[in-house]
Formats: sequence, structure tokens, C-alpha cells
Amino acid sequence: MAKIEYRIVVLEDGKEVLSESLSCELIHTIATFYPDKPSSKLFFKYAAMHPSAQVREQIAYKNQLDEESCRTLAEDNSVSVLKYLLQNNPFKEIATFENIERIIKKDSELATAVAQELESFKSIDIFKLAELVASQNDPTIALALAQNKRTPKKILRDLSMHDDPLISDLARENLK
Amino acid sequence: MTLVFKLVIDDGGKEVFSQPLSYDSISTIASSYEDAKESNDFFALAAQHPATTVRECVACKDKISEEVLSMLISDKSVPVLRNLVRTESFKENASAADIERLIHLDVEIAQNIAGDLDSYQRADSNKLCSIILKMEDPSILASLAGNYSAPKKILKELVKHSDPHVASEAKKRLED
Repeated sequence: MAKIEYRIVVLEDGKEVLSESLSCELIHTIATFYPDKPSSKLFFKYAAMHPSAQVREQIAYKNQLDEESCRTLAEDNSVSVLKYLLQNNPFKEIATFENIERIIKKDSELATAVAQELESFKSIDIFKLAELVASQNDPTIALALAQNKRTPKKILRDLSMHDDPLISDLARENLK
Repeated sequence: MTLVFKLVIDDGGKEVFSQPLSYDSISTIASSYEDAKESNDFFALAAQHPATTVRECVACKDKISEEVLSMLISDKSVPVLRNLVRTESFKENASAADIERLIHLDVEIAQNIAGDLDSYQRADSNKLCSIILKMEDPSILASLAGNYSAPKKILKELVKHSDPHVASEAKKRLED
């Protein structure tokens, strides 16, 4: 990737009188307060590539991300960025099974967040996603799945036989 | 003179984004801008911004140069001046004449100066003290009475003040 530089430029009567590079801290502040509106998409696209995870976290909050920015952030290595991305509406619309599979495998808290909102990933088959989530070993993830009202019945039936009594009880309760 | 502040992004040396910043964004940037001598080129331009909120943010910076101080010290906005009188730069470089002018401009400014009398390096604190003593507002005298470095002679006068709060503050300082 080419080097991206962020600058503040001041023009006095049309003539450039200042051009200074902005620190990651300032870009973080700008990203935090940048208006979340359609005309901001281009800024979000570049800020989504900023080397500072703190900057990218702020972008992952924004609801006016275009598909390209969502795809960039879906490949992020920061758990915090991915955590915010999972709550992001444009991402939920376009996320692929492969995107979510990668995220789930990265961190159990992220997998739990997916289990709690299985139905919100519009482009992914809910049964296939529930199976993927159910295959994770962490009982916290299974618990979230057992509690989700939209978890497919077949998965709930499997969870009703889980070794952990809390998970099996909740899955049975959810099946009623 | 028209000043335009822009956020610019370069990708591999090529400008790919250039957007004018709203006064609100410039305030946010000014507020987070590093309080260092190296930032004075930016502060000098932001100090001329028509939005009071931007100038207020610059007027909070301790490291503003004498040039920036001289721009802000004649500002028409009281909130700007209230911030300015608390800065290191003001305390080190403001002239006695400017301090006296500001004491008479606003009660809150006068309170601040009265509470910090010996910090103004280019003014005679005894002279400032005698100016403040002539002021009618008891809240200004209470600040003077609460000042740990107020001269004992002044405190002895304030102990006899008709306002009980002023007298009580002066008594407390005398007993310290």
C-alpha cells in the first residue's frame, strides 16, 4: 500500500500559508467527530487504512461506510476494530460467511457477539452461521447461542444436550 | 482576508482528498493540537479564525508565542480572554497595561488575576493589588483574600471588610 499522509492546510486568500502533517492523535480526534453522513465516505475510506487501530476503531463505528471500507475493516487485525465493526449496520448488510468465520476464529468475545446477533448478518445463511458458531469450544459462545431467540431449532436441540447444565437448560427453555 | 482550513490526504504523494473544515472541526483540532512551541504557526492562523470557539481553544494553550498572545490579548470575546489569562504565556509576557485593562473588563478575569497575583512577570504585584483593592465587587476581593501569596498588610485590611466571606477568607489566610 502506498504511504498515506494526512495534513491540515490553511489558505489565506487562496494562497497556501500552512501545511502540516497531522499526528495519529489528531486524526483520531478528527475521525471521532467527523460527521457520519454520506459525503464523508471518502474520508472514512482513507481513515479505515490508517495504521493506528484507535483511528480505525472510530471509523468502524460509522454508519456511512461504503462496501470497500467495510471490506478493508473486515480484514483488520485489531479485536477492538472488529468488535465495533460487528455492530456496524452497513457491514451487517454485506458481511460474507468468510468475513465472519475469520472474525469468530480470532477471538471468543467476537464469536459471542456474533452468536447474540446471528440474524443481523443479512447476506449469510443463518443456519450455516449458527453451525459455525456452535462448533466453537468456548461455552460462553454456546451460551449466547442458546439464549438467542433466532437460533435455528436444530442447533437449539443439539445445545439442549450440552454438557454444561446452564447451556442445556437455556436451550430447552428457548425451544419452548 | 479569508482563511480556509482544509483536511488533505495524500496517497503516495498524490492528493486524493481535500475538504474544507467546518469551524466546529477546527475547534476540535485546535483543542487537541499539541501545546508546543512548534505548533505556533497553526495557532497564529487559528487565532484569527472568525469563530470564537476556535479562538477560545487556542487561548487555552500555555505555549503560544508572544505574536499569538498579542493577537488574542485584544480579542473582543470575553471567554477567549478568560482562557488567555490562565495561560503560562500570558503570565510570562502580558504587559502591566494589558493586565490592568483586563481586570476592569470582566469580573471573572479580575477574580483569576486576584487569585494569582504574583504570577504576572511583567507587572508589579503590589500595584495590581492596589488596583484590585479599589474594586467594588466582593467576589474579586474574596479571590485576593484567598490568595496564599497575598501580602499580610492587605489581608489585615480585608479582615475588616464588611462582607463576611471576604473577611473570613482573609482571616483564614492570616491564620495559615
